Amino acid sequence: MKISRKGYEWTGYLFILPLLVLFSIFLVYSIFFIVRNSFFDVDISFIDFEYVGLENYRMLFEDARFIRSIVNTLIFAVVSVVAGMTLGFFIAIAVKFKFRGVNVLHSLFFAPSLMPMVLVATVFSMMFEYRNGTLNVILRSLNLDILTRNWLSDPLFSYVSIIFVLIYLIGIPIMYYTAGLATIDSSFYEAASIDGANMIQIITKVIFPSLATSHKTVILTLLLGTFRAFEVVFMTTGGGPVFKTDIVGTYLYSYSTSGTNVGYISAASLIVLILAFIIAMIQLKISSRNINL
Amino acid sequence: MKRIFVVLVLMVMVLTMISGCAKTNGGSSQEAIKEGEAGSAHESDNKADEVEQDNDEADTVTLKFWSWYPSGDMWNDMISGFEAENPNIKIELTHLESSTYQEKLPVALATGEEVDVMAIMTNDMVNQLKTYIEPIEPLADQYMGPDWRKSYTANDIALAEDKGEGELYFIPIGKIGSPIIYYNVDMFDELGLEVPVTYEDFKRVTATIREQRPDVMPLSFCGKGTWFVDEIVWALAGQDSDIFNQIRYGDGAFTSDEYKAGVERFKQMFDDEIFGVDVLDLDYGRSLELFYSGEAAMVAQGTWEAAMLSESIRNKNGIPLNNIGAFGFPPVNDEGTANLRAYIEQGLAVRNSSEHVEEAMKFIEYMTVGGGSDYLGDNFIFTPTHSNYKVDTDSITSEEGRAGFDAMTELLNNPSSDRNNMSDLSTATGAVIVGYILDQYSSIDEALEFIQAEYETGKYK
Repeated sequence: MKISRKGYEWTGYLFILPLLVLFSIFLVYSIFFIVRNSFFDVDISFIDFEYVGLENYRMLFEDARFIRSIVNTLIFAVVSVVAGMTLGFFIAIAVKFKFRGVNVLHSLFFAPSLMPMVLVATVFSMMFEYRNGTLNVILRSLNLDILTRNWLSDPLFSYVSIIFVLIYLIGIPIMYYTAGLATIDSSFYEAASIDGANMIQIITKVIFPSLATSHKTVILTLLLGTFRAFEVVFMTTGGGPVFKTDIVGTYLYSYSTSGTNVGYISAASLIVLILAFIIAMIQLKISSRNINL
Repeated sequence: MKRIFVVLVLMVMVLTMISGCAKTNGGSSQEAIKEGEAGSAHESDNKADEVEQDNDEADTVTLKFWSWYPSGDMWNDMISGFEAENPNIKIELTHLESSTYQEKLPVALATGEEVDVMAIMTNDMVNQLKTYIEPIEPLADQYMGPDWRKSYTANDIALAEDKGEGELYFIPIGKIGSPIIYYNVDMFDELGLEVPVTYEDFKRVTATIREQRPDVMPLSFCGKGTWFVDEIVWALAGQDSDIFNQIRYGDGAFTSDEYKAGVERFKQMFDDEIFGVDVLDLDYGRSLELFYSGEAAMVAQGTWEAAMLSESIRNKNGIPLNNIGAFGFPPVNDEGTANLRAYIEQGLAVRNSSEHVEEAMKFIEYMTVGGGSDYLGDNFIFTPTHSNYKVDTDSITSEEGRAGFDAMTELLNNPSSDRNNMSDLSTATGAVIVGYILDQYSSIDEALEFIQAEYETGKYK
């Protein structure tokens, strides 16, 4: 019996329907949950609800720490994207073209992707300790005491430490670019080479533009991934010192321990959700425009 | 035909998923235990099997009990002791990690899950849950006798009543306090040091350690967890005032001279190199790890870590130090006294819909003035509220350990103020104080005004 195209579509929808139903319940109800609670003063028992209107939002937008946490999240996201699209891209290229010593480099950057993030962040936290951390111990042993720093508790260097860890965590972009490179026909390189292009020109003018889809995936993954980089910040600097390295995740966590502020946290979560949605939409719009061009 | 087959397959998949998500009899409790201690999970599975058999016998009652602290293994020890004395009562334990407990218990109560006895945190949990809790004073009068109050430390019962705004909803198990300083006795002996009594002694001790053992941190604490910075500052401010109680319960302010004195004393300890800025890198576990490994001579922590004073507990937990003592923070000025803040830490309450009230009260009595209370005290989990409790000093074998325990008990029984924290504010306050230490504020007044303004935002309850 011949099934029409419409029949195939319905079959497809039926297959994904159970998961869609569950997903919708969790997603739609979750959003409804935080939207509703954001207008109330309510604690973790959810017994007494006191309607407070926009009071939670007012407190949020008057809180310089919340604004800073958003700014930090965006800054860390940009750093991750830049690192992923440069260092991650070039490591993938090195793997593809089998540069000497690339296997060590690849293992070094890819290994953390296979480990729990808490573990990676904890290891870095111990490495960055002022007294007994590996970094300062090595510097002291090389008589470079002048370079030792409070990598976790100095207001400037704590920021640098977070950025360093985020740059190191480019295993996922490497994986995406490696997969993307496998889809490029080698005849493109050969044609470019025959036309006289050198390696740099092949990479920048042939390969990089051909990986538009990979770029889109890497940017979106890293941009939104930073909103979830709670472990990296919490286990290293804790969002400090003095809230300097707070991201939205650590900010939300700091108000969640007592269980008395569910309304406030819900309002903050909703703002963060809207922000992440806007960023994703902008990025997708720009990417699709570039592809159309 | 093909489409009908596809639809049938999908229906089977959906039904399978729904049945997998369904709550089985006691399943949510068992799920909760899987998130908790493995020992209690095993015990709960065994108890669940035993319950099915025992419930066939008419006179065995199963109490469903929830708690978060101490560990599941310890609860199982205490429960075994209770069940041995009360063979017709079985306890089914649900044990969760602290923050999970705070989330799940209210939800379990609100959704009608069976809970007979529950451990209550002495923060705002009482107010959150009092709709589900039976006022306990009438129950105590009925099942423990009219003189039951005499078995408890009066102040602890008064604090419990205070939490319920005059009504007693739970009986406190014990109290804890913070901070206390634990020290490596062997290292002190090696360096010819004695327990500091005055601030000058304290400076001398840390200076000696720094000179003679530059590889050792004189004093570690979890500076990265800024809530503990807040703990230390309150203790220093409390050396000559009860400013915490004034702010918490009255109209005291963070900009007051008393609180300012606490922050200044904390800064002074950095200036005098009692603390190094390296402590600001340390989280809770790391600060203890440095002490246990001999890389720190002292560690500041709460009385909940007092178990390290016991040689047997140190051996059991693989702590390699031979001998540990304790003392309070020496007063920074002559008018002050060593002190700490203390508070009742955990209470036990009866669910108002419980059908086993008598059995529940037996369990609570056992845990607060019976064998359970002794177990908690002897293992240094809490200082029991039991007024006649005496510690098993056989578990603290050294003179320094006993002196430390006595000093700690004295401080706990005479706190400068309540350790009734608003934990979110505590973290924020500690962070600002760290900022003041790191010269991120132009003056101490700017930092204190920031804290006061933050306190007044309405975010902290």
